[in-house]
Amino acid sequence: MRVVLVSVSSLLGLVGLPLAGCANDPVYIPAPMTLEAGIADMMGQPSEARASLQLPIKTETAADKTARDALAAKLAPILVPYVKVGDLEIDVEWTIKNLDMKPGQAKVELNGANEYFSYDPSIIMLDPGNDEAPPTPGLSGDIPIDVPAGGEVSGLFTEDNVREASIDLDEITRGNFNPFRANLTISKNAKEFQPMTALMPAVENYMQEPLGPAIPREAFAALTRIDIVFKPSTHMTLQFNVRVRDIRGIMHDLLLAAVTDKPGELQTFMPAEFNVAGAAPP
Amino acid sequence: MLRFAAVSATLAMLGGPGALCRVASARPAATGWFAEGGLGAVAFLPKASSDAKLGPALDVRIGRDLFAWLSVGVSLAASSHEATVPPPPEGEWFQLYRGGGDVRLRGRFDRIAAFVEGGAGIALISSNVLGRVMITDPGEHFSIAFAAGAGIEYQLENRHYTAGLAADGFLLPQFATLRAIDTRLYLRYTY
Repeated sequence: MRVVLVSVSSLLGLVGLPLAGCANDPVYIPAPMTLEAGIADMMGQPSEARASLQLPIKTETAADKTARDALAAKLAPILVPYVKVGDLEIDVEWTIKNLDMKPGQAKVELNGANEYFSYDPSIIMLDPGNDEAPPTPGLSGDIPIDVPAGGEVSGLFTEDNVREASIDLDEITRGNFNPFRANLTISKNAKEFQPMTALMPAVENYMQEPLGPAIPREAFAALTRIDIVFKPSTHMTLQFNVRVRDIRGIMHDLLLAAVTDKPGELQTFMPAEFNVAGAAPP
Repeated sequence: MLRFAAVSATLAMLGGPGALCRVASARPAATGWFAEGGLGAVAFLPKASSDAKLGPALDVRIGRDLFAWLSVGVSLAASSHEATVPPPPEGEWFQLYRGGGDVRLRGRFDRIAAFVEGGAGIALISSNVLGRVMITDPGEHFSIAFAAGAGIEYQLENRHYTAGLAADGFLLPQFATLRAIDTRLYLRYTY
């Protein structure tokens, strides 16, 4: 009898394995193209390359909408996004190939958009008029990486990095945090953040004040678009791949093929371009 | 003395000297319902062999011996593999689950038996990481599975237990006709 029980238990365990595994099995979304940069432009500066990958997220179901509306009513006036931090666990894997015969350096910067705002640090001037001011930081990365001549280097933005980037983006956009503050503080485990009055870099000695209620973690917006900026010093290519663990089951089964095969089943997001001069918390 | 003579006479009448000298089968094997569990490895054959490494596998099978030489069964198997597609991604793993029915033909030579088997079922792959090399299509997770193989068994002294070594080749047509070899050591209990 014991043998029978062990056999049945083993069998049930094995049957359960795929079912249990499905919830956390990753899916892989390849980059839309290979980024090639580092070729000197007219000014002799190495070129940059950038690419965006919109995550193929299914349209919101009626049940999800009802639950979201109920939470929004409870947290009012705070808006509750459809895709929240924790719904998707994302990492971005990349490989750089140095096509040059001399060693070089490359930087890979992660930016992106949630359903409310997109973030492009190259258009944000935090200290207008100061030519020596450091550039506005990206959400993650932007660290020099040595790439040997003709060599290959791989790396990744981990799930923690991307979660931190998601929260930083929400803090910068809905919370009006200075991007340096958001970038230099660890928020991946934050339970809430306090929105501030809008940044006014042109106003001297301006102090931000708290504005409205704190936004709780259950209303943190997650990245729905991944933007990669590639900045090599010599001629190089970068390929990247987005790995998603779909915790809530909101990714479309066809992934990017759904864009052409079933576009009506994909949620459309129209984030506003964030800028310190023009953005206000919704 | 009289009793001994009577017993001897009775035995002689029942079987004669031949019966007294017959040796019992050294390793009798039970037949009937059985359960089998095995551990082994799955290796992909070209051209998928360049896209996934050999990985550990677990198999369980239950079935019934219809005759001493013929049995039918259902099996479930799971294996885990590191994808070796061109990076990125790098160092990522996926799981392959297989389930189906099979038929096994067996020939026994005392304590050793040899068998051939074949069957069909379905396979499930846990992720789309092999989509990068076009082994899976977008949204594709299932394939029909065909399997065939052979093995040898060793009957233990206990008539219920058998240890064996088997190798099956399987084919997954929907996954770009992926082919692989599943090799396993197993223990079977026959009720």
